[in-house]
Amino acid sequence: MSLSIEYIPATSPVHKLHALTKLAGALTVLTLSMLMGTPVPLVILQLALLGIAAVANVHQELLGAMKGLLKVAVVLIVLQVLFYSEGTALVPLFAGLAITDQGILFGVTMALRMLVIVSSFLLFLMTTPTRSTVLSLVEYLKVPYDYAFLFITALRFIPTFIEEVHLIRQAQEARAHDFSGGAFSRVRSLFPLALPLVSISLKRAERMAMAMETRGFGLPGRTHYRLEAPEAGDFLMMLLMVLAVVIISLFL
Amino acid sequence: MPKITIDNLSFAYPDTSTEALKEIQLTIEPGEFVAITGATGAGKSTLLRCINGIIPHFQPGTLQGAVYLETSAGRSAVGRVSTPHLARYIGSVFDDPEGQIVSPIVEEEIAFALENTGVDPTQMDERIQHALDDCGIAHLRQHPTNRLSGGQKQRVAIAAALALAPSILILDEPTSELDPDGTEAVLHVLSELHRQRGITVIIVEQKINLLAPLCDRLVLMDQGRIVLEGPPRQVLRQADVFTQLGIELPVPARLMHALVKEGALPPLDSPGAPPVPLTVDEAYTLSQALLTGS
Amino acid sequence: MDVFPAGHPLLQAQQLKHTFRTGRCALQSVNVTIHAGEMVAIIGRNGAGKTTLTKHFNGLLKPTAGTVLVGGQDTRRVSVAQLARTVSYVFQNPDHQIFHGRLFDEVAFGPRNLGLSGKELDQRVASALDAVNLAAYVDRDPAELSRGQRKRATIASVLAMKTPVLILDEPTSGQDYQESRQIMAILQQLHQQGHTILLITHDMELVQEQAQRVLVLGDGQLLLDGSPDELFRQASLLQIAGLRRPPIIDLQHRLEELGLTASVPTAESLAAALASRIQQGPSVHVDPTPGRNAACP
Repeated sequence: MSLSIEYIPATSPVHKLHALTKLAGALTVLTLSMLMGTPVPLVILQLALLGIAAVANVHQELLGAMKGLLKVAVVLIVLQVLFYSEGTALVPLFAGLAITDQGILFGVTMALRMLVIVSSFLLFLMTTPTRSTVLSLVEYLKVPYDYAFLFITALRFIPTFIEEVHLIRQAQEARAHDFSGGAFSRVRSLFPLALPLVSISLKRAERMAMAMETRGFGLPGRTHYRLEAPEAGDFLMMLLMVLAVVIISLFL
Repeated sequence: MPKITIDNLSFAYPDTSTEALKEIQLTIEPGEFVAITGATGAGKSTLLRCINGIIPHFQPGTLQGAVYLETSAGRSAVGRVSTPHLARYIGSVFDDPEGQIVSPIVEEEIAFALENTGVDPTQMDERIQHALDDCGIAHLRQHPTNRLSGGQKQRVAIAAALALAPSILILDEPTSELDPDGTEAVLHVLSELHRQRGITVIIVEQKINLLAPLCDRLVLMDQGRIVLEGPPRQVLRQADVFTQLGIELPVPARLMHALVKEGALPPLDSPGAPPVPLTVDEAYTLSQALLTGS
Repeated sequence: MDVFPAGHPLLQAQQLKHTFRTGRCALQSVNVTIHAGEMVAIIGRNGAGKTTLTKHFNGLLKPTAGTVLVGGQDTRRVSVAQLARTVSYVFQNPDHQIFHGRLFDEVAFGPRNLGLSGKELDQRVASALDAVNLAAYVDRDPAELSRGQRKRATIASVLAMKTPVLILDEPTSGQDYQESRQIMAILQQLHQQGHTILLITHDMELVQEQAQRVLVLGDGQLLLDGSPDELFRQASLLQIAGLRRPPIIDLQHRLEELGLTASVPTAESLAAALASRIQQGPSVHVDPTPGRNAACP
């Protein structure tokens, strides 16, 4: 499954929206999908998301992700169909279970809902730099900066971490260590990887804390580079979202 | 521009019996380029950490004596100012290029110190540009930090330290992990900062052959003490100290000492002795002068 | 260890090509044969393909195209653990491998993986630690050792595996002068004992003093396969590959402009040559155009 959750830089109207607006958008889609209990409105919602993705020029990536999500959708449908007993039995199965019309309907709805929700959040992540999101959370939703910083730094270190795992693995394999081992010794066979990884990470964390302090980390009155404020368009979009939720909930 | 005065400084790490620094006495003038060298465990990094405030604020231990920053406005002990506050006066760069970069994008990395110290965001773009220009890496501004080469990472680290416009830059073996191109690029940036911006540079390095031609003062340390210090041409006269401490004597100076031994040159402390060559070019010129008898 | 007689082709890369999953071509059509008993330096810029090449010689990487033979065996058909009996590899950063609480166990890790135990194991660990001057630390926690000592501990940990081939990635980086000299002496000794040694390094003194042969890589291609002396005489190649002459060689070459030659490239022998020329009286046919002007501040 090729889930792209990376920010894809571009200059589209969607990219220009404030991070909070897009986050609100994803939450709106989440709410709407919960309100919708039948496949047709969900299909319309999904098509709308694809439309937005096209405007943002990330539709290729979103379609790719949807392809991957189809497998999950199939599993969801099969599970619901197997264990949903209400409705008219269409095909009788073993142990008193049967495939029912409502079971199929419910399964398809569940799968579509999952697809819609995941797509909307992917759309949000693909069109918004992580930094913008995190800064917005700090500035407007009062999330403490330390946590936000932790999150950004963790993202920055993922590639380093992966590289390190790779090198340690190779270093031990070069000394004839067998990581595959038997199932019994599997956990033990991971020690030569895990222990250096832990000690190297601790060392790095300490050095990093030192480097941060020498650059003024921890002083009061922190300001933020490139902190964007929501604009008129953002407020308009948020208003539209609220209206959409209200109207749709009245009609459903 | 503060002057740094180190007054009778001793330091011992917790749970150790031997002192890492013993009665260090050193004054560093504003705008000086000081290179510190010595064997592992000589106390070089510990000394740097006492200057940028990591000791005693971050690293506990037993500290005696003090490091002072002196300006015309008066003097303050580093030990009494917290490390983050010192960031405006002293920029620090460490040996591990990977472990000191916190942001995913280069410009955000430079902005980090500005944000921490509460700089007005409208001024940040200009200051970031300035720091990047000074380090010759303006073209890397939008690059992801994890795709930079080691030499680029170290220059980003220098730019990030420079963002707050400190007048002192402290570097702990910044080139130890770099290839020759990276090393040369980093040292070039440092010498330019020193020459053009008048920044005080204090660097710990093993590669003295590269540092000797750049620095105003060479400091040799051993077992927590300063054994020898002075202008490089003066320090390099004492080959026996280098041998004794197991520090590499750069090739141009070695040639000169060998020439004295051969009787081709008068002893180095005699009045007519030529200055110790610092570069291969200078050694060549000296040899040429000897051959032509001038 | 005398499985391979000196001069026997031990490591062979034939039309070796390696492309990373990201699509970056790290090696393109490299042909090289390393013989038993050679001491070879592999040099070039970071990212030139040095590590990619050497990791093919112990099977950590498999060729995208072409063949790599170790002791005549195709690395694609042999496991890394199997190859570890022939080729051992010291990584650049000791932190990537050290994980035991006692130096003995760290050094015994490799041989134990090869199935050794008892007296033979004790003996191997002892002689490996002896070779790197760490015998006194056998019961210590490697975490307490200095960076230089840890580096030597990793060298011991592969020495104890008694492989004919040793590959070392940047053995002298991050070491002080004394520690570097110590590592060079260890390598020299191992070489004399018949080990085949491959060094990846930026340390040109190390190359000049130790290597009989250098492989210069640039952008995944083999730019030179020759002696250090050959390399240091090719100014354009040095520039292309991002390499520098060691200062002593630089000085030697410059003094050749003045007609001075020394049998060995040391400051002392150059000074001796210079002194004997001065005794012959001032030279009349000195090249009047110095290459560059000296900057005397």
